[in-house]
Amino acid sequence: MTMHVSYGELIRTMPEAIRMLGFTYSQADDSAESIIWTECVLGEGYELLRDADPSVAGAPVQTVKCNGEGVGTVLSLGNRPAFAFAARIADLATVKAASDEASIIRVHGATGPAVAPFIAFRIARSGYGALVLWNPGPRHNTDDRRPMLIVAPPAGATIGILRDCSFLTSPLRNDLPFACARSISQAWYERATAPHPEDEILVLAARMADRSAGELDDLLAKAQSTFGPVEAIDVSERLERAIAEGLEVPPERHRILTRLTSRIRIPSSERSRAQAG
Amino acid sequence: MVLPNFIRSMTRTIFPENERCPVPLPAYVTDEWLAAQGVTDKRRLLANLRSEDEVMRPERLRAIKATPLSFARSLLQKMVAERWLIEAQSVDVDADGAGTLVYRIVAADRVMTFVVFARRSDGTEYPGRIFEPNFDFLAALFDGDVDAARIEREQQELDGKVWHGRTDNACLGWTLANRSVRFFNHTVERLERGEQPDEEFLKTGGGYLIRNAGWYGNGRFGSRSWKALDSGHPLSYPYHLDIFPLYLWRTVGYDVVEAIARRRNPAAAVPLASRLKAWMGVGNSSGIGMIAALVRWPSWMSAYNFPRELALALVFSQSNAFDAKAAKRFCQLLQRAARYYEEQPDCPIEQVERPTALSAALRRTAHIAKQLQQKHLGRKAGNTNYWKEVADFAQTLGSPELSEQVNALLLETFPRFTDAAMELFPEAMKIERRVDPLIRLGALRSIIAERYSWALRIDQSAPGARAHFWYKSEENGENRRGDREVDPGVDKETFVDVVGAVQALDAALADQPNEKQVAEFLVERPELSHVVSRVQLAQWVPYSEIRGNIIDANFLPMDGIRFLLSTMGLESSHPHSTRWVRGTFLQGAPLPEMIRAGAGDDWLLPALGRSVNALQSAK
Repeated sequence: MTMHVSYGELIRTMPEAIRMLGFTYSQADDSAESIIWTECVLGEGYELLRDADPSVAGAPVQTVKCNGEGVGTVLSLGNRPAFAFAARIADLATVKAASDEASIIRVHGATGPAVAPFIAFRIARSGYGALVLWNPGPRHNTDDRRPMLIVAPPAGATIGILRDCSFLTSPLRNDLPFACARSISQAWYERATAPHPEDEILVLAARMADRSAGELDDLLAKAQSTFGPVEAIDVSERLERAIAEGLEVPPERHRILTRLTSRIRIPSSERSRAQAG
Repeated sequence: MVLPNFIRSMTRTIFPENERCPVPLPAYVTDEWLAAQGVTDKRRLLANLRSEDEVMRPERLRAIKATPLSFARSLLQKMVAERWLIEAQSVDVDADGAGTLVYRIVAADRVMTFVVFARRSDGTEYPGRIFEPNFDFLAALFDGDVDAARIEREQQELDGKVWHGRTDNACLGWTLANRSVRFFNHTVERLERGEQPDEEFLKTGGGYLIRNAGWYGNGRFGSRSWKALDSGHPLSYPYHLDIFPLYLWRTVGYDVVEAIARRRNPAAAVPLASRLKAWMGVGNSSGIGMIAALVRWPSWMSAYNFPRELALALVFSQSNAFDAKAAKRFCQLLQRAARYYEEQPDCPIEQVERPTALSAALRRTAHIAKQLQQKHLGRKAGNTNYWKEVADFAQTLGSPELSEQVNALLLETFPRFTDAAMELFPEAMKIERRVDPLIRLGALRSIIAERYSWALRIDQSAPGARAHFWYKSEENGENRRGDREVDPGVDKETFVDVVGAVQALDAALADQPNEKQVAEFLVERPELSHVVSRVQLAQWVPYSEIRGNIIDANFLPMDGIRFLLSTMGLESSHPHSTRWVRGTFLQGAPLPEMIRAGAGDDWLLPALGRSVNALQSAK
């Protein structure tokens, strides 16, 4: 059994739900799109709320450490949900790519892998190519939380998701269309030899000529023929459909949202009733 | 450096006339659009835009009046132009008014259905607050035709589970309304005796039988998102979907009073006179939640204001010869407005101008406007500024409401400018508030200094400067305003404190290097992302912020409420308190049969006159 949920309903209520996970108004406002997008495009947005709930409820203002030295920028989220920082991570990658041709952001201690495609999409929407690798730490590298690589050509209309990342250890990695992308492959190797205890997101943003974008498509085709299906997602079509038709979701999933939203409401009293007008 | 796409599109708009331009000119106002309005001197036009310090102060927003750009006006204009058909398919109510009404609407070849569930009244005047279970009328607007099974299902969800039901994509939204009991009952009693209601009595109530208690569409309860309407949908223009149910409630009110009268006394009952139907509108009441909405969407706030201000600047920037015909029409409108305010009920709120005083000031302005005509008659192109002179005279009388009403009537006089400005509105609404991650902090500081100096000047440590906070109550999320020092819930307050947020951002930037980029800053300080995006938006669009301290003890919520309601099209507002505003929409609007005939589009500010007998003899 499902219930009908409207896109406009999600837009209106999501920031309040995120606030009730312990985030500021500002962060809630900033990160609502990431969850709504993930639900509309991948059908996994509600789970981001559910998974974040027990770990950060009542937490103080979130902070991250930014280290610009070495191969790229390193952010440490301290096991906080990636959705709350997704827009900031994508924008940082975009800005660094704007000045340096390409950029790599390594994000440690991020939870909620389902938001990784949104990070790639947001970078691509700004006109950059994006590769985003979700690398779960040892405790999370289970059958249901496997690594995944998201490929997003500039413009963001489509993205590809590779759920079998053995591609990165094959000779195919040498076909990556721009040099910095090989860092993704390198990081994958590092992970294999010296596992980082925390989940990690590797974000690559790069300026790509039209030719490079075409090479990215070729690469995806090769990977698909060698390692199995690449989940090619028409983002525009899924978003438009969600807006036009709404979503059909099991009531218990939607209840995550309504339960959180109800927490922002203050108990009433006669004095309170007089404060409306 | 290559800029991301969305940033490139926005940066084109920054201060195109940065020498003396009083406000930023948004990118949707293209040179082609300006040329189509006959603008040859862009600087002159920009110089005629009113400053944000003048327009966006709360006490000035309080005075803003409905204009042809208001959404009720533009909707009615469209309905008349397209000759919409609105017909009652069934009016099945008993002698107490309980029952079901079904309306079929054909608008530009698209069908909609409005289904009303009318409840029996026990004579209680329901306030229409959003946690109340009691309403006199509940209704659903559907896209397309609906069958009996669907109507029954909707009744179970809407009427049977008030505030807890669900609908789906076929439904454009739910709406609620209540009887204005004294006037509704008076009208029924008179009609069933074969008489018309007492006009003088009706005037004391603001001129309506039914009072709107809210529209719940755009996704609420699972209804269709407004964004899902295709561009050819008759209600795809911003806010037309929200306003259309108001028109329908007005019609429902007439049909229900007549049906009850017929049930009670079939032999003697008469229909409500068309003249009275046309004069009356539909009531509305709104509370402080509107302030939170105005603050939440600064790009919409800009959209509410800028097309109106631009159209006004176009009026003042005309360089053609004096237009005697337009001046005559303008003077007639001033007289009409004077008569209208003369009939408006008084308002007990000290800060609201008295309607009779406003009426007198309008007559005086009309007199001066006529005198000025003699001065300007025969003047040639480029040598007349009649319209500005009249507006300036109105300013000298020291009444903000007069000044804004005169401005609204100036816009009324030049439909070519308001029609053109109307085209801008959908584009203005599409602008999204987004973080521009590329900009450097030195530049961000400059934007704050340029666009938010008014906010930096406010001393929030002064007594009472942080007195209030907005919150949502457990009673269906109703917006309320608490005292910060007394009431619980500050930790969950609804964001309205723009001044505090801007000051916090300014302080946070103080020790940051100028060359650092916003993206790096916000990774470290994500709690400032919202206000950063807000400040950046103000760089691209004007009139986006209320220039006042909303949480101050002296801030009057009615200022923002009146403004938003006027923007929607409310012609008269009568604040019930400084936090709760009642008023009338669509007073004078053409009736369904007139709309079908494509007639009755000059309906602004109707006056009934003083004689009850005149009505009886005209019947």
